[in-house]
Formats: sequence, C-alpha cells, structure tokens
Amino acid sequence: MPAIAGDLGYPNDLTDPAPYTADHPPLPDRPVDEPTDDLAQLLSRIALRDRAAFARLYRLTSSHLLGVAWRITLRREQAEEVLQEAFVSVWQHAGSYQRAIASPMTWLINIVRNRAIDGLRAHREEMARTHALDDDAMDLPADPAAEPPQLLAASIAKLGLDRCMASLSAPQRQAVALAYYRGLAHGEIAETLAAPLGTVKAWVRRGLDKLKTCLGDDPVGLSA
Amino acid sequence: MNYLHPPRLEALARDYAVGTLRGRARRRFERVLHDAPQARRVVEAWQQRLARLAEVVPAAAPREAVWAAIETRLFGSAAATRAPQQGATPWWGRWLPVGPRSGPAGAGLVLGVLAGAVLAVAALRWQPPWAAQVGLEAAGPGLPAAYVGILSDAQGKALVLASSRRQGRVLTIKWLQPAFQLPAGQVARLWALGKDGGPAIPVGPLSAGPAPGTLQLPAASEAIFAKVDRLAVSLEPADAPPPAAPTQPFLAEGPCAKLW
Repeated sequence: MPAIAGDLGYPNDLTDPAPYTADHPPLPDRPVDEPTDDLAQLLSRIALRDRAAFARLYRLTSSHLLGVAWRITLRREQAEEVLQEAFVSVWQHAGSYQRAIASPMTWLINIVRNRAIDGLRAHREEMARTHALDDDAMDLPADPAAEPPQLLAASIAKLGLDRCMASLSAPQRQAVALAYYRGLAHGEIAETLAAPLGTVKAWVRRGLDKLKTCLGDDPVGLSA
Repeated sequence: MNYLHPPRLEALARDYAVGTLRGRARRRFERVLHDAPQARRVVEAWQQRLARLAEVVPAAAPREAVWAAIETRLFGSAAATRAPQQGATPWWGRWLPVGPRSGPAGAGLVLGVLAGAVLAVAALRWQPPWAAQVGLEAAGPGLPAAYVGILSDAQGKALVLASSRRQGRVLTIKWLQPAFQLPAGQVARLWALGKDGGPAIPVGPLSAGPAPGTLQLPAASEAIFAKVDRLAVSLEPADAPPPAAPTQPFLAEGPCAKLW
C-alpha cells in the first residue's frame, strides 16, 4: 500500500518497494538506536520496551488513528480515551504484532476500531444521560451521516475500484460506509437509512463481498 | 455450530472485521479466534482489506494531555520521557502557564483556565445523586480518568495543584507559587471535602518545595476522590499527632474534578 500511505502523514511499512530517499537510508546501514520512521521496526523496538520508539510511533500515527476513532465515537473526548487505551495496549502487546500478517497501520487501526466499537454501547448510555448538558458534544467536524459515503467514494476512487464497484447502489454504499466508518450495527444503520433490517444486512454484506472481489484475492493485502 | 465451516467463517470474519457483529455473538467469535489460527487468518485478511478504506479518513491531532496520560498510566510519570512534540514539562504544566517564568498574571490565567476546565468537566460528568446507587458510576467502563484539584489561597491565587491517576495510589502535588514556604513548626495537611457536605477526610501531609512532590494515598484515588468535589489544605502543628479533622483555617481550598 505504498502509493497512498504517504498522503496520510504516516509512513510506509517495510514492504514499501519505493526507493529509499536520503532521509530514509536502508535500514541495515543504520545504528540500531537511530530514530526510524519505519512502523514495523518501531513496533519491534517497543516490544523491547523502547520508550523513545513508542513516543515516535505515537507521533507518527496518533493523528490518523484519532481521526478513525473520532468517526466512531463522534466525540473527541471519547475518541481520545480510545486512543489512550489503544496505545496502552500497543505498549503491552507490541510483541504480538506479526509483520507477515498485517501491515503495522492495519494492526493499529484494528486495535483502535475494536476499542471504539467495544466502548460504543457504554458511551451511548452515557451520552443519553448527559444529553441535556451536552448537546454540542457531538463535535465531529463533519456531518456524521453525510461524511461516511463521501469517505467511501474517495476510497473507491483512490483504490481505482470505480468501475468494479459501479454495480453497487447508493444505499448499499451508504450502508457499508456507515458500518465501517461510523462503526454502526445493522440495527442502527437500518434506523439511519429508514430501511428494513434484513435489507440493510444484505446491503452491507453484498457491498463488502463486492469490495473483496474488486480488491482481488489478496489474502494479506501486503502486495497491493 | 461449526464456526470453521468456510462460508460461515468467511461471513463471520467479514462481519467481525467491519464491526457489525456485536454483543454476545462478537464475544463468542472472539473465543473462536483465540483458539483457531485459521479463523484468525480469515479475519486478518478482512481487516487488511478494510484498513485500506481508512486511508482517506482525515487526521486530527490528539490533544497534548492524551500522550501525557498514556505515559502516566504506563510509566507513572509524564515527565520522565520526552514527549513527542514538547519538552519534558509535566502535562498540566503545558496547558497551565504556571512556573518560574510567569507572574501573577499567569496564576490568574491558570485559575481562569482551570476553573473553566473544572466547570466543563463537572458539567460533562454531572449525574444525578442516585446514579452511583444504580451502578452508573463507572463512567466509560475500563476507561481511565484522572483527578485534578486546584487550591487557591484567600486572595484567590492558585497555590496547590493536586493530581492522581484514577486507580493510582500516588497523589502528585505541585506548589504553584515558587516563593511559598511552610512556616517553621507547621505541616500542610490535605483534606478531601465530600459532595455530601460531611466532615473533611484527612488525605495526608504535603511536602513543600519547587519540585512536584508526591503523597502516598491510603487507598486507590478512585475510592477516595469519587465522591469528593473540593480539596483543602490547612497548616497544622508539626509536633502534634495528625488530627482527624482540621484544627486550623484552610490555607487554600478549591475544586477537585475527574478529568476524562
């Protein structure tokens, strides 16, 4: 996934086939303790309790991960709690990261999304309780209903899948986008789109299966 | 049900990875993942695919306090390592412009900023008195919180900043007026004042000095401060046994609130 990672402000992983620049000399030539922007290498240093590597990983990835979490929690405060939990977990479990299976950013995104989704129910209870005092707390700097389809459309365009995904209807795309970017359950998507639950389930599943086909059978995605 | 039947596994992995598998079904599938490497592989393939959809998500920089809180939770002290973008100032020092370089104006600003923060936190965290009794007290299960108190002297100038991790047993104390010195023969004692207006609860003695000091708490901070909304300091005779209640007027007093 080299072509796109750079645009996000987080660096590519070791599988990046792009030539190294002067700023990024080949890894073996570097002393072990020299700062690196290579996320996989940072994770392996973190597994060895390297706090400087941990701080660097945070600096390189936290903004992107907060963006992911914020779209699920809708509130910055809770997205930051998720981020905090996630990085505590990263420090504790960096040793379990396996380079061959996922790219470092995928691994980090999974930790953040799982935390955010697991926390959703409790957060919603709290939101319900504090609603009266807290009306302006849905502080996501974007329309929470309109933004997900735009993000999905941008992804599809960026990944060059427009033609392949063309057979999906607007509601199908919207359902997939709400599931992924907002972390909504089927029932919540049905409510948002005012559609029957069974229909919504089919939309999400069909959309994701189509996405899989379009991306090609690339089980670990690393060669994409 | 055989979770590993390929079409079923593929569907469950997809729903798990995107997040639509919820509740007990999610927990059950997580147990399957724990035991079955082939199931993990299918999920990881989905996660890798879906992660590509995250690439277009706009980034948003977390606030400074997030990194400081991570460090405090993992290492016990935010000041101990270089923060990613800032110097080694403790986290509260970064958003509270107090220190040798700031004068009374700084302290006034501190008070305003912190009072605002405390009010905001109090507003966000306000809950009816019955909430604790019906088990709603655990705001954000598993999520961290910190207690922060700021105590002002009779002139309204901030004098003491106290902070603690949610489950921590250490209270960090910062004297905000560098010139402040304890009178000879007296010891500063910290008191917790409950929301119910009951008697002051002794927390412990505070050492005074320019560097942040610590106070060992008799119990986890959550147990002590959960129902406390104000802190106070009194100067007690050093040669007397610790009093059960303040015997002197409060030197400083101020709100205490849960952050996050």
